[in-house]
Amino acid sequence: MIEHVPDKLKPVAQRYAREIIIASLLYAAVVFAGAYATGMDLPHWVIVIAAIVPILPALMMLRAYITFVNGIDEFQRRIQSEAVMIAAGVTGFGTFTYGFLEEWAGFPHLPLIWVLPILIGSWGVALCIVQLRYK
Amino acid sequence: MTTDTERARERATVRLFSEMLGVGLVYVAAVFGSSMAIKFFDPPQWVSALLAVAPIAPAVLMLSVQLRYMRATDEFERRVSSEAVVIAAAVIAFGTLAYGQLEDLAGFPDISFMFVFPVFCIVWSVASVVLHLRYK
Repeated sequence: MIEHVPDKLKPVAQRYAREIIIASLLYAAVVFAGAYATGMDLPHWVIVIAAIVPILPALMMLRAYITFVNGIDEFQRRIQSEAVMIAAGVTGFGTFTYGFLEEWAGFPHLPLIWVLPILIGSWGVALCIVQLRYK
Repeated sequence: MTTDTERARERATVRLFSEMLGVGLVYVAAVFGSSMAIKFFDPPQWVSALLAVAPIAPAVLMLSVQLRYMRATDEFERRVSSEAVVIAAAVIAFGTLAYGQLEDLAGFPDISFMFVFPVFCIVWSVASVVLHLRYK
């Protein structure tokens, strides 16, 4: 039984890694192209579109992750869902609290661009902790 | 068998609801209390900062209630709720990133971090409802 699990997990994980790498490269290319394009004095609507286009490779990442989660076993899925839940909670309450600090305690304004790194970072940490705890 | 799982699910839902309601009320009271205190007493900055951070305590309790609920329910519920969270997290993550770039590159007005969480909750609820309807 134990030997079957990695065999089954392997193609799923490989596919996930492949799709995420492709989507990330696309994402990085689109973001850099967009940032570069703003230096070229383009009309406002072109810049707005350039800022929104990275959503497409982002959706590819989301699809890859959902395919991955549907392909793994119940135990792995449980670890994944708990980690996502913790990361969402940390990010949600953390940004909410920081919003109050901005408003009332005069903390500097942070642009929304930092929400994604906070979410991904806390997700990674939560994944490590949940995995270690279940071992 | 089915009635057993259904009953367990119902029990877990009732417990989630009552606990979440209790802790949620504490959270709301803490947020309002600290905002009122800051407004009326105008304390030094470090006290304001502490007061603004204080509602984190009930927030952590809310998170633990949700995690306990997810562990208590069956695979189906867990799958639906985790898929809804993933969708909400993705919408928030990529939405804020796109808007951050609009702020940065296209001169859109700044939006405070405060709005991230309410939007997250709304997207999460909508996603839960849609997924429940779809799986039925």
